[in-house]
Amino acid sequence: MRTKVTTASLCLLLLITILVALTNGASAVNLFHLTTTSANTLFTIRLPRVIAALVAGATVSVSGALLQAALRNPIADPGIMGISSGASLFALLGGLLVPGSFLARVGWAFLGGLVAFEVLVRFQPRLDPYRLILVGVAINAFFTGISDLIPSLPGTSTTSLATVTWSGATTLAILGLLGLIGAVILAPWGNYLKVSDPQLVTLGQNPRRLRTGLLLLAVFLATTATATVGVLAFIGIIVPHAGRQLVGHDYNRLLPFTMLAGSWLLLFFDTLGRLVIRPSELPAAALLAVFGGPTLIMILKGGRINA
Amino acid sequence: MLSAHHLTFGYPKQEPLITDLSLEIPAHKITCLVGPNGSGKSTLFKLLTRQVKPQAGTVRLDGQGLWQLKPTAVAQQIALVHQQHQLADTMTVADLVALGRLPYQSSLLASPAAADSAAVLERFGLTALADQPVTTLSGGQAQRVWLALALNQRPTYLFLDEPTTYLDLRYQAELLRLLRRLNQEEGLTIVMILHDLNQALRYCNHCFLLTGGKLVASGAPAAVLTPSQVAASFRLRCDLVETPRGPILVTE
Repeated sequence: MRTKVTTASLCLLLLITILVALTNGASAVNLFHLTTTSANTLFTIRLPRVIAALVAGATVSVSGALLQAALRNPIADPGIMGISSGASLFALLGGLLVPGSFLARVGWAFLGGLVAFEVLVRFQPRLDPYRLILVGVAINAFFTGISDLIPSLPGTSTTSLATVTWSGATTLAILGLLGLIGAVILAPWGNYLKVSDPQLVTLGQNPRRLRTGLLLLAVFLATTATATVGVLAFIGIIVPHAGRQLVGHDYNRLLPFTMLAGSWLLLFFDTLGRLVIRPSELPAAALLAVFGGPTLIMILKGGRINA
Repeated sequence: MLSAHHLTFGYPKQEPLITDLSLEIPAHKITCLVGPNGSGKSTLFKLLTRQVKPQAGTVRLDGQGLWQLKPTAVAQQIALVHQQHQLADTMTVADLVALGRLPYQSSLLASPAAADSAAVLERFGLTALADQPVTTLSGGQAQRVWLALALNQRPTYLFLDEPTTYLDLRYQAELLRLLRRLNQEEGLTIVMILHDLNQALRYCNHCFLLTGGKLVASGAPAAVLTPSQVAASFRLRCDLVETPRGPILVTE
């Protein structure tokens, strides 16, 4: 019952935010009286941006939830752990070395995310929750530093929701939706991994296989979004955490909620950023960090790490 | 039938933990593995339950090598209650006990059906607690939940690793009586590691005494745990005292 009410309210909120996002901005668009200019604004600028925000919000949030399940760590997040910045750096370098299609960029980003993750677990084979985050922070700083050292050349402009094109939005939508479907299918694995590895072995299961499956999917989801809209930190922690409070800890329910809520949260911040100081705008990633940092501190203060 | 044949196991560059050990688990009995720390009983326990692979020798389940069988096929016959229970995230009693059905699922993409676990929850008096998070339960209740999970595998063999360690006296007695009932009513073969030799004397039908990675005695607990045998294995003198409820060991 509670889950249904939460989901219904969220859907309504999402619908309203989409409408606001499409019709407001530097110039207002009346959906019932479209002029050539406003139709142009709507279809070439706002619609791909809204689609990208919706899909990226969902994929990064779900990526966080899957990392948390696989690593048995409630503060795992692709942004904090350096997966997204690895993806960002590789997408940048890949684009410079071998200019190619947008799909190639997504491929480079996935490779970068895998490299970051591999480094992370190489130095933390026991997956201790706190050390993993500390090493992740170092990896994140390292990759971000290298990205910052690369001079601004044509083709290396920062990626964000503001620069999303139709090709980016379509690629993200197709790959992102495939990944999200995969996440819903693999949701029971998140529940299985709540028990220890020896217990899973006792049940005739292979914990390593379950973990690897979820981790690969999590890296894919986060890096695909990063290639299109840049690094988004904290959303991968905040949204699943709120979900556990609202719909419970069962991944079969948590993941669908995380998708909806993640979509809404990113679109909300992106729209907010476009509206508060129009015609200029504030980056959604920055707003998310401003909101997410304190929220994470609250979560940690609550001592719910092993709850 | 579960049996070990000439098992040897050890870590590289170390004294082997188990050397050329053979035994047969008596069917439909309560068996205990006892021995001093470092005697190899934990290693033997892991070898018998397919947690570690022997360097030499085999464990056979109904004539087939444990490592030739599929892991799920083993899990359908051998269930295990670990000494320490960890949950990385909140889980309800019903969801946890339902995991016992995993060895029977052809696909891991479907969550185990709750209906399959209802009988086990009922049997262990957990129906009223089904929707409660396991972490909110008392030690004794939690131990029953993990036991219910193991029995939901509908095993032929139930292994328990020092099951009474974290329980107070009342829950220790309750658990051991429950195990005895499961053994008597359902013919379940039970194998457990015990540290308390008096529990071994009181509740077990058969006893394997290990020392230095070798099986030094096997048989009825009262015949194995004699003062002279205990003195030799544990380097501790004690007396066997008859009580109205059977013999107990009293250390000097």
